[in-house]
Amino acid sequence: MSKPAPVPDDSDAPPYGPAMSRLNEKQRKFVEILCGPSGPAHGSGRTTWAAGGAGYGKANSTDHTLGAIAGRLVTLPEVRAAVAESLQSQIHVLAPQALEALRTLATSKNPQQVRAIESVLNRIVPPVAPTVNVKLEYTPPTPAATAAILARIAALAAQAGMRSLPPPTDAVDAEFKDVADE
Amino acid sequence: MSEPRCVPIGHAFFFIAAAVGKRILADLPMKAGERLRLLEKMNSMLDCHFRAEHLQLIEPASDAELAMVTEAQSLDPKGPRKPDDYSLPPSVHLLASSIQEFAKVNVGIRSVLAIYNAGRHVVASVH
Repeated sequence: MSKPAPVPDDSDAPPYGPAMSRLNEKQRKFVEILCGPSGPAHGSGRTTWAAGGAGYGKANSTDHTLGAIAGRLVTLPEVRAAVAESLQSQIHVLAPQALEALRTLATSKNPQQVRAIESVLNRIVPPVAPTVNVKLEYTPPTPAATAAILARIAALAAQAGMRSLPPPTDAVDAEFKDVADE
Repeated sequence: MSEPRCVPIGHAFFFIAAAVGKRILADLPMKAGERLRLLEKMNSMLDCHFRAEHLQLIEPASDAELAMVTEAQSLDPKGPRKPDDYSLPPSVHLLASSIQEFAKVNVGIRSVLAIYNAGRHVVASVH
């Protein structure tokens, strides 16, 4: 009898995130392989390869079958959420490397490299747009102030010999309608 | 009508500006605040020579007068003026020197010019 494979001790492994925790074991394995560093590139059978590695299908399952299984897996919302969670955590892992690269690139003239690092850093620490708190207050003129302005207009108009002027347009150009009291 | 003898260029321009201002007040719909600003500008043109009774005589500008003003203003340089540019725009000189043309179509301007030419606009003032 062959020796059983040792059960991996994952007591030191970091706990899964909430999205990964909601998956069953096979699905979680699928996501781990899919988001891992090895395997074919995306678009070259990576999901099929991840499904096979996670134990989906049978020993004699074809790539076509595994591809169909993988296709269904990646459409599951919980799997998609777990993939996003996994990628996000990997990006965070890249942060020290990106910072180190930034340091060495302080004198670099390679804009593409700088942009790539900047992109990684933006995902880790999203750029925060400067916030400006503006408090707008509008105090409608009092009836007395309105009357004083209209009186001044009338006086100046009379002084200019313009006894009648068309009524002023509304200060607020908007349609309104009467509503019944509730 | 004889040539004006004692109408300063600024006053001649004010006569025209007053006519245009009156036309705008009479025809253009505007808010109370805009109307007040325009009336205050017209009020600021008055002094001990160009007085309220003269302003009252001037009639709102006709379409022909507005066209003349628009044509004159087309001579002015476009864009913001330099901070140290204190020269009058060309349209001011042109309009003021054309005051007789305005007097032909605006009986109010004609009356005010007559008052100026007769020297009746000058009042005694103590400074």
